[in-house]
Amino acid sequence: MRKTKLIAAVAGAIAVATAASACGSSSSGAVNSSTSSFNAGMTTVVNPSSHPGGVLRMAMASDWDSIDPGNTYYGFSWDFIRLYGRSLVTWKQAPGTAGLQLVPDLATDTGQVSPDGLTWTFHLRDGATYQDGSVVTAADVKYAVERSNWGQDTLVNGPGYFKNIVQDKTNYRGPYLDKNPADGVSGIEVDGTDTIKFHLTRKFSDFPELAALPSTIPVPRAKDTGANYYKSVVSSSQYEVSSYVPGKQAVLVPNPNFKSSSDPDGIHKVTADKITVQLDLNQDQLDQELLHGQLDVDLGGTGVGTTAQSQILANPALKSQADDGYTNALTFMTINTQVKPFDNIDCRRAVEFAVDKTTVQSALGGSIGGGDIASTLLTPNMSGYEQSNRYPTPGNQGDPQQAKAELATCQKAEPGQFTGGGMLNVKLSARLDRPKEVNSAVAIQAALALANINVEIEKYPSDKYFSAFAGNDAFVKSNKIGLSMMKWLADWPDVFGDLDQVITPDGIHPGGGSTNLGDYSSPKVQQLFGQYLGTNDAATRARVGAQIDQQAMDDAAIVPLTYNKALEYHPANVANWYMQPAFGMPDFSMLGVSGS
Amino acid sequence: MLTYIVRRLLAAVGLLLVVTLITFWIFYILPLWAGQTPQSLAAAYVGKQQDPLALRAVVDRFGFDKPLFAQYFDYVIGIVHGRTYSDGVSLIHCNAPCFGYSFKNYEQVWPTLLSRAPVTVSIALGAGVLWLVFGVLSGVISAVRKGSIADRVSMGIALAGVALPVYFVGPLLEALTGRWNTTYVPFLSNPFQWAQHLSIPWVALAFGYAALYARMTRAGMLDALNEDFVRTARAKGVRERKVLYRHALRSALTPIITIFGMDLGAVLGGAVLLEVTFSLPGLGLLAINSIQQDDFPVVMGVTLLAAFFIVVANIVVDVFYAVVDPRVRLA
Repeated sequence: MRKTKLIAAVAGAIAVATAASACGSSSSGAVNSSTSSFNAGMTTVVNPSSHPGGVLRMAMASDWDSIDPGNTYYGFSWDFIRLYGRSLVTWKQAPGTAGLQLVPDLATDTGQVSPDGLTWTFHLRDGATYQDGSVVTAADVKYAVERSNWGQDTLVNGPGYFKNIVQDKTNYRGPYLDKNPADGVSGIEVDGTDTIKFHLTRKFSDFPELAALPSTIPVPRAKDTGANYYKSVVSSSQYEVSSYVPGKQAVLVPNPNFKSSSDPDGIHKVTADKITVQLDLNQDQLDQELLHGQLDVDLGGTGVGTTAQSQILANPALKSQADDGYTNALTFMTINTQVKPFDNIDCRRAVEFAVDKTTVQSALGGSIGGGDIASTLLTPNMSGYEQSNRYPTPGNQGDPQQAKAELATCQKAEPGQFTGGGMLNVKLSARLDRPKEVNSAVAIQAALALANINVEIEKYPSDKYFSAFAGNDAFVKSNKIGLSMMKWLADWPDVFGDLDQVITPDGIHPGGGSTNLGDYSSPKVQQLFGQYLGTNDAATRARVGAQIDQQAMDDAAIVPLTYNKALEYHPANVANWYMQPAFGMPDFSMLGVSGS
Repeated sequence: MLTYIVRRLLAAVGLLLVVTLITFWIFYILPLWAGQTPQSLAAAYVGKQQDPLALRAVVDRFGFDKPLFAQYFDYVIGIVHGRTYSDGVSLIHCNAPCFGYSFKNYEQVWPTLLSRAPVTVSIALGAGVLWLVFGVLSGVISAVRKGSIADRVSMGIALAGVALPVYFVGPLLEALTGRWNTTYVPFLSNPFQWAQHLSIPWVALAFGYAALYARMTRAGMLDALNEDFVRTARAKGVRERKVLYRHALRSALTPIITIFGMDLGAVLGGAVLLEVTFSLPGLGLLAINSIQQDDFPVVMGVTLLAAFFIVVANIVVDVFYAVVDPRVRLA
């Protein structure tokens, strides 16, 4: 639950008292650390422990879209789900760049690709079982992929990447419309009980990243109840879901039939007797319980609220238990390439040069908890990220003179779009229930005014922002929304996982729901994406990834504003704490309580 | 009296029907008038890749593309007769009173409301007792000792109570007591912990109401004490204590009880701010979360239940009034 400004103000008023009480309490988990320091979790595993037992108390200010591995699309959910489900591969449990490597989990390796690049093969580990003791088979993995990607008539939330690239000569309608168990996707082949092959329609070198999605967590067909499967998820991992009441609580207990022999790399080695997750807590209340040792983990993964952030930064003891890491999200502003005069690149370049990113950074919460000033589309954790700045301005404060020069060139080509005095009137959309975003829009409005661009801010509710307003092509064009505020979190940390839905036609949905708010489409970028997905060479992929980023920046369709960061706090009794860079949040799959 | 009650109940049913019409209009019709399409309404229920198959399924499940009167008719019929839904795999029969089916959580709305109601009822009853007792008590003391220090202090606190919202008082109480982990423990599982955990929310909610009641009681008492029947009672030699409590307070309490019934009904419909402040999973928090998730059937269910509580409280108060005050005509 997002707090209101008033709650924040009230809580701020009592912050001194609470901070003092935290300092004075010898039993508080906040002050007992002797091993942690600020940002220690970015580079090391803090408080490593294999101490068995204890209850790991988690909470968050929201709820899942679904705990069904085939029907969820939240970052924290994909991170947490590894406790009760094993995908074919997963992200390495390590901080720093090592955490960007894929490692096998349910499979024996990260996938073998055929010489033509069109078939990926995975072998399942021996001894992998469900919570009822039955054996996990390749057919179950196939079924899981089919239900999550072809069954979106029933499972409406999850991603559909497999459907876009896996061959399907039978035009399969999914297991809920086509109830014949003999039917299925022709491009997913099962060989015996432990081999699964994916035949693709085109080369797709990000396939191991797809294999890390929860879509590959096995689901036994006989236990599938469609959208209701979340009520009885069958665990294939170390924990099982004991209970889940939407809006209230989830409880996980150890899966007695989990065989550690099927996990030779020791990925699933959590030691808590029980994991509880309280749901829909007020963020301020959650933060205070965390600071006072009454909770162990904020599962939301988006950091503490502004009140708690002030407390933490003002108190060295609390700060030593905090990490300020990249979330893999980018806050940016799109410039719609189909709305006049922004179909003209000079007008788009004028906006790029005019924005004062320092004021936007302040509006978003500053460098800690807010983010670093951005100049690329890929965030620093991403494979392929290369530091560059196509539109440098002094101190990142904008360059009104350069912007005016670009605007003058644009005006010559589009004189009808300017007023008699040479002013350009444009509309900027933002989400009205996101105060930081609105404040950012106001900062941009002020900066663009210095470059003779008059911005009118249009505010829309966030729940309809993509479906009815900024992501609805007809609405955008009829209302001439030239600029749109946006924040995007990568599905996985590379150029395709991050940018496919933002800068390619895959993110354009004419009926509404577009995430490519700039309506940006570039043959050059498409060609580079083809090149990127056609090679498995890591160095080439990184180089081409950077080229895609730079090409999109050269086309000036997006103004990157900040690489988002979140201040995460962990009480001293929480074991095995670190920031997992692929998820951009703590690694929830290996936390425990140290018993100290 | 029976005719009166039956007439009021029939009027209440009519009123609730009007409420269903208005809420349905707000959630389902107004967005279409504002330019949304069935597909864009459905988009809020689908993951960020907006699969066309998923969008089509949501439109079908909600019936967004059906005629509006048919959608409303289905909804009302569901309440009185029940209806059948499809979740894509199986058919779910929702028995009356069927307030709809949440396609967010794949649960029927009515059981969800029933599961949240104990929290809100616990809050309402506990806080109600507190604000009634302390509000009336301090109002009486202030009236009897008008102009005294007790009166001024009491009315000063009352002013603060009226001025300070629950989302200020709540965190303040938590900070002062150092108890941040307010949760709901079911009464039947542990009555002591139930009361212990709810004590701060009760006080926070009761503070504002008690302040109002104190001021109303004080004003009512002062008016009553100047009435002829009080003067007569005193002239007849009735003891002052009896004059105050048997005559003056009884007269002053009648409007208090009227307001109490209405306030209690409103809180039973969801103490939204309090539940959000303390993250208590009652009807108010359910309503807020459902609004944020566009879970329209649940929002409508909470709205109707809240309206039901208000209407019932209104009837109870009217009947009570008719019983205790002979001047009220039953026409």
